[in-house]
This record gives sequence, structure tokens and C-alpha cells, in this order.
Amino acid sequence: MIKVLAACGAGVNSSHQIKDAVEEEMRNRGYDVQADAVMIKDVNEEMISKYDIFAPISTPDLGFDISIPVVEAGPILYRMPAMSAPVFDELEKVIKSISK
Amino acid sequence: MADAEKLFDPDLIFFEDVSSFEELFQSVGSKLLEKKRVNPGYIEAMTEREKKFPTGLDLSVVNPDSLSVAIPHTEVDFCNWKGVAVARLEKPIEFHNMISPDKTVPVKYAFFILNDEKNSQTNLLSYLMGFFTTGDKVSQLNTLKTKEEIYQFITN
Repeated sequence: MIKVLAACGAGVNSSHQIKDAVEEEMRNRGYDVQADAVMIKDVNEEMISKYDIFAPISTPDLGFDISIPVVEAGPILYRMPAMSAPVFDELEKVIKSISK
Repeated sequence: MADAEKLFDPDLIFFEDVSSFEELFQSVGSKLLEKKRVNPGYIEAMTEREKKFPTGLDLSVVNPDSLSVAIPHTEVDFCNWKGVAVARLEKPIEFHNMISPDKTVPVKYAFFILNDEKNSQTNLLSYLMGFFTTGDKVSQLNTLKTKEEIYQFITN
């Protein structure tokens, strides 16, 4: 199973929408993906190490090097296929590279 | 969303003449405080958060003619209600772009998302996104005159 960490500033709106959209679309594409949604300020090195992919709205400065692949998921928020497809494609590419 | 009319309130639609997001948050925030929809500390938390995690949403990528919006919001502890307060800005204000924070977008409408339940699947944001990206509703908003008209238009 691939674990994705979605994150946004308040941890209530955007990150939850990213979590739901990523789980749904990646399952539709045949991948076993589970995502969690958190506040950026709660993200630390230990938390990140438990996930396979980090999916913030845009890459934040966390004060440490992010040890896992980062996929910027902001465009998903528009809920328009033309905007979200490149993000999902990128996620799929990363998932494939991890699963090898 | 089933109960859109409950997520908006004609009493929470404001016409604002301000020149920065700080002023906007101060003005709308104090009205929300007065109406007990938010808790003390809301304005400061919103302002701080907007600086670190901006909420401007560029709608010109959806439709080149569309006006842009912002969706300012903060943590659940500062909210007493679940719904959206709407501010029409007399003159557009620059917000930093949520998705590309180094860029700015001129914002004509700010949708303040209030959410007091961390674990509820509110989908407030998805409802708004649907509104922003279907037809050119934001520009149509601009043709409306009264708060009641805006309320009816948003909830229908």
C-alpha cells in the first residue's frame, strides 16, 4: 500500500479535499493508496518518514529536507479534470517508481 | 451539497471598501466576532495564516475573463459555525496565490470559510470550487445589486 500525506495551512479544507481526490483517483487507476490530511505546522521528519509521498498544495519550507517524493497537489483543488490530470499523472509516475 | 442555503447567510454577505487583506480581515472579522460566528483571536490567526499560507485562487485559468477570488480560512478552534461569509470588494485586492505563493491575484470576492468541526466531511471547499468553476458565476455575481440577490444566486 502507498501512503500519501496531504497537508495545508489549516488542516481542515484543502488537505481533506486533496486526500479524498487522491484516494479516489488512484484507486480508479488501480493503485492501493491511503492518504491522511494534516496541518503543515504539524509535519515533522518523523511523520514524513512514515509516508511514501508528500502532497502539499505547494512545497512549503519545513525547515528540514523532505526525504520522500513531493507532488504539489494544489491544482487538484479546482476539481477540473484539465487542472488535476497532470497532478494525478505525476502521482502515478511516482507510485510506479516506488513500487518497482 | 444538500443544504446550501444553510451554509450561507444574507446577514454574512458584506460589501467592503478596503485596501489590503489585513484591513479586510479586520473589518469582516470584527463583524463575525460581533455575530458570534468566530472566537477572539480569529482576526490575528487569519492574518498570520494568510501570510504563511495564502488563499488567493486564480480563476483566469478556468476562464480568461473570470474575476478571481480568495478563500481565507483558519483552524477550527477559532470558528463557532460552519458556513461561508462572502465579501464583495469595492476595489480588487492583491492576494498571494494559494497554488503559486510567489504570485499574486487581484481578488474581487473573498469567501471566508468557517468550519468548527475538524473531522466532519464538510466539503465546503468543494461546493465553492464547483461554484467558481461552473459557468462564469463569479462575474455574474458582479451584476447583482443586493445582498439578498447574492444569497439567492449563490445558494441556487
